This record gives sequence, structure tokens and C-alpha cells, in this order.
Amino acid sequence: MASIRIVKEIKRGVITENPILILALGLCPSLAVSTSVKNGLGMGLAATFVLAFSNVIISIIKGWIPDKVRIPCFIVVIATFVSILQLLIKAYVPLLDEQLGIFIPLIVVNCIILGRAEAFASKNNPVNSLIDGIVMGLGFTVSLLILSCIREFLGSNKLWDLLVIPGFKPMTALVLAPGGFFAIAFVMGVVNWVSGWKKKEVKKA
Amino acid sequence: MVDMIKMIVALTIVSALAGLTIGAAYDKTAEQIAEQGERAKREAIKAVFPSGVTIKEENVTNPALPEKYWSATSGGSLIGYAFEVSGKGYAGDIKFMVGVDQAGKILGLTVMSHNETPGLGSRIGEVASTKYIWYPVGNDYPTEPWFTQQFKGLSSLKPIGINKAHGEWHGLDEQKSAELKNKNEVTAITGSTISTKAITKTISEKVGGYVKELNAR
Amino acid sequence: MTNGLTGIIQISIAAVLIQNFVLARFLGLCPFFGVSKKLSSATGMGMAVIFVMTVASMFTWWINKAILIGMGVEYLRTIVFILVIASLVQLLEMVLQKFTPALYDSLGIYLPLITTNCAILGVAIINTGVNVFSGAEYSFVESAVNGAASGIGFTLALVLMAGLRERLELADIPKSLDGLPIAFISAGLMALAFLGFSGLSFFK
Repeated sequence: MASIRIVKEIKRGVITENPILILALGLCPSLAVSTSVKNGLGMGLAATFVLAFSNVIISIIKGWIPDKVRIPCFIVVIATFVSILQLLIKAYVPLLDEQLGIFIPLIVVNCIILGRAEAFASKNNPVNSLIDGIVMGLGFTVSLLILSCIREFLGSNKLWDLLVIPGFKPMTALVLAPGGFFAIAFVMGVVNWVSGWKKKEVKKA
Repeated sequence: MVDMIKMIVALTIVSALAGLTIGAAYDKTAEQIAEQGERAKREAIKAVFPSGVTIKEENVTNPALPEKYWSATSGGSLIGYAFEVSGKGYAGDIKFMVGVDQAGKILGLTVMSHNETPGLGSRIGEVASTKYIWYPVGNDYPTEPWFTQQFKGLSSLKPIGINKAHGEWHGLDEQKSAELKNKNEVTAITGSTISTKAITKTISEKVGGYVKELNAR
Repeated sequence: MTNGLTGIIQISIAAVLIQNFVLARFLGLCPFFGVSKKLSSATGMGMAVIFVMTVASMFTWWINKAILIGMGVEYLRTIVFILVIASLVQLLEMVLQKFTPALYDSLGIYLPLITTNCAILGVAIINTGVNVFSGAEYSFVESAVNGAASGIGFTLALVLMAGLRERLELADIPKSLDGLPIAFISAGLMALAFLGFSGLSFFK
């Protein structure tokens, strides 16, 4: 039973309620840092860390927080974990700190995290909130990986800093700002196309 | 009123706990963070000198010299100096370490920090990968960025030119790279001449002067 | 003083055109796509953002200098800034409601959305860094100008985008690209156009 539930939850986070591609949340970091797979993975894991821990704490303290100051309290909890994460990254992976720069502190205002706190953690128990945080973070990470694979391959002919096709001249525009917009438009278009096609199948049957 | 007090108390407690937690985390990581910065600098200094030299920090109060530079000796004889300099790139300063010998010849160059556009100027620190994702083992893997590598052996006493006719350095054959060396020229990063210029200009303006000053003493 | 003035002009032009907050720095994308369906609401949101960004830049600059650096607790920057911005937005909402109801009517509904707009926190953090043009820290005036100009850059992009999207309503768009994807493509084309400003430089 438990394993079925985990599969279901993962499907929810990565496919049906994918934070970036379906709900269009957390766009700033996903477009800004998806220039290479390494950065995309780093950002995804960083956001997952904050998401999981803040979800747990919020679901623990939800009982004694007056409704009116709910949001400020949530923001404080999220900011705490972001600050801790910032310190940890600076101490142990300074290269990532250089690469992600301003987008690490900006995880605080990533709408996915506050959104999950408000929509899920403030209504559920700590264990379920932890699962929700991890699953949603996974969905965020997967979409970042998809975007960054497209951009790193087409923009610099590399994946994880390794060359892909001999002699292929990459289009630099894809790792620059416009490429971020084009890549996500393309991925969203494909997602819409596939889901529209699936709906048609259901109708026929 | 009771509601109001409750709200204030809750917010205060949450913020206080948050502050304490972050403070504790800072306490635990502060040493490590400082150590990371130190280590990066030590490694940058080591990288601009040939291996096996003894490095000594020098502090001077000469207005024509930086407050701090490093000298390298091998078996008692002076090999060269390392200077930490910065030049104005496309987006903010590019900070780098340059090693030079007494004749002003560049021994090595390492970019320490920059804020250049990802995909363009940020390639000053890019390692020219020759390794393909399809066969990740076997091939030689250069660990030194090609852009900084081409400065080795150039003179800091003469202006360093930027060659745009040949394409990027990592794609050149030996004859062409020797030709560049003779002319005291480097190749630019495609689309980021400003970042390239920041480094060449800083070397001839600052580092060349430092070497002359040290030799005059 | 000419030096200070050129610095201010450089910062403004960079923030509006060269390093446009939305199209080059990828900050504030959620409101950029959320509120760009109608020109009128885009203008309202834009004005609110300019206002809050300027005020927030001034406040956070002072807090950073006087409290965070003064007391040596820079590691609390993220949490302090977000709290300051959140309370500032609340305060502004109350002040506007009380003293300028007309302005409140036009901007009021956008204010709560601004707290989680990463552009505000973004400009506050950028102001704590190094000024690209002078190589020194941002002064108080430079921070305020940077905040205002970044807000103007955001508004410019937002209003242009809203104009585009109003036209797109009438266009025949492939079904799977309808809605957000086509908006992303339009934004990408605008970003390409803004890339053309990247060579722009003054007073070299």
C-alpha cells in the first residue's frame, strides 16, 4: 500500500501538479539558473531542501499561530531555512554560491514554497507535509532539469559540461535571457499538446 | 485587544526563534566560510606559479605597489611574483591573480571572481572540454581554462593585443598559437571582447608597472 | 558633483534598458505574466511596483548600513529584508487608504501581490552589493535611483507585454501554445530585442 501511495504522490508532484510546467509557479529561478544542468540541479535541490523543512515546521506550528499573522509567520520560517541553506552552501559548495548568486536568497519569495505552505502544510500533519514538500521539490527539480538540458545542449553543445555532438555549432542565444523564455514556451507547448492528445483518446473511448 | 496581543506574541516568538536558529547556524559555519575564501586564494596563488616553489606573502607600503603581493622562490633564487588585481568587465569587476617573473613574463593567470554574463563573458573561466558525453573516460581532460592558459609566456611589460582573425585559442594549431605568442596577442572570447579587454588592459596597466617598480628597487 | 550625476544616469539606463529586470535578469516574472493580460491593470501594477521599489530601496539601504553591518549581523539580511518589505507594503496600504483614497483605489489591489514579488527583494539585495559602474558600494541616492529605475524597467516591460497580449487575443494561435506558452515566446522576442541594448555604454 505504502509504495502505491508514494508512486501516486510522485506522479502528482512531477506530472499532474508540476509546479513550473502546469502551475507556472517559481518562474524566476527556473528561467534564470537553467543555463546549465549543474546549476539547474543545484537550484532544484536547494529549493527542495527549503520546501521540505519549512513544510514540516509550518505544519507543526500551525495550531498556535493566529490566523491573521499566518502569512508573515510562514515567511519567517521559510526565510530561516533559506538563510541556513545560504550559509551551508557558502561553507561547503562555494562554487554553487557563485553560480546561483542572488537566486539563493530569492528562494524566500519563490511562490512554490509559500504556496505549498498555505495550500498544504497549514492543513495537514507533519509527515504528509514532508512528503508533499519532497514531492513538489522533485517536480520543480525535474522541470529544471528538462529546461536546463535543452538550454545547455542547444546553447553550448554540452550536458553536465561534457560535449555532445562533434562539430555542432551551438546557438548562444539559448543560454542567454531570450533562450530561457523560448525553452519554457516550447516545453509547455509540448506538455499541452500531449495532454490535449490524451484527452482526445479518452473521448474516443 | 486580546487578539492583537496574541498576534504580536506569536510573531515575536517565531521571529526570535528564527533569529536564534540562524545565529546558531552562522556560528557553526563561520569558520568554514572564512576557510573557503582563504583556500580559494591560496589555490589561486599556487596555480599561477610553477609547482614546487616556496611562496611568501609580502606586505609593502609603496604607493606604486599593492599592499600585499606574493613572491615565489625555488632553492633560494627568486622565481617571480603574484599579484591580485581587478579590471572592469562587462558587469562589474573581474578579480584575478597573475603570476609574473622578473622579466615581466606571465607565468600563470587565474580568474578568482567575476560577474559576467553566463554563456558569454563567464567563459573566461571555462575549461575547453574535449571530452564527449558518449565516451566520458579515456580522453585527456584539461583542467585549466583555455582562456587564461593562452596568457602564459606573454609579456606584461608590453600591451597585450587581441586577435580576432583566428577564432578561439583552444581551436588553434601549434603554428598559429606560436604566432600569437610572438605578437604578444590573445584571442578574444566570441561575443565578449569587453571581458577579454578587461584582463589584457589590467595586466599591461597594473601588473607591468608593478614589475618595473619591483625591479627598480 | 558631475561624477555623481553621471553615475546616476548610468544606473538608470542600465536598470531600464541594458539589465532590464524582467527581460535580462529574470526577476518579477510571476506578476509579469500574471498581470499582463490587460493594459489598464498592467499600468496600475507597474506604478505600484515603481513606488514600492523606490521606498523599499531607501529603507533597506538604511537598515543594511545602520543595523545589519553596524551590528555585524549580515547573515540575517534575507530574513530582515523580507520582513521589512512585507511590513512596508502593509504600511503603505494603510497610509494610502487613509490619505489618498483615489490612489489607493487604483493601486490597492496590487499591493498585497507585491510582497512576494522577487523583484523587490532582488533590488534590495543588489543594492547591498557593488555598483558595477563606480566599483564602490551603492550610496543612498544611488540605491533609491536604482530602485526607481528598476521599477520603471519592470513597468516598461510589463506595459509592452500587455499591449502585445491584448493583440494576441485576436490572433489565431495553435491550440497547444495558447495562453502562457505564446506569452513566453513574445517575452523571448522582446528579450532578444532588449539584448540589442547590451552594447550601450556611456562616459567611457
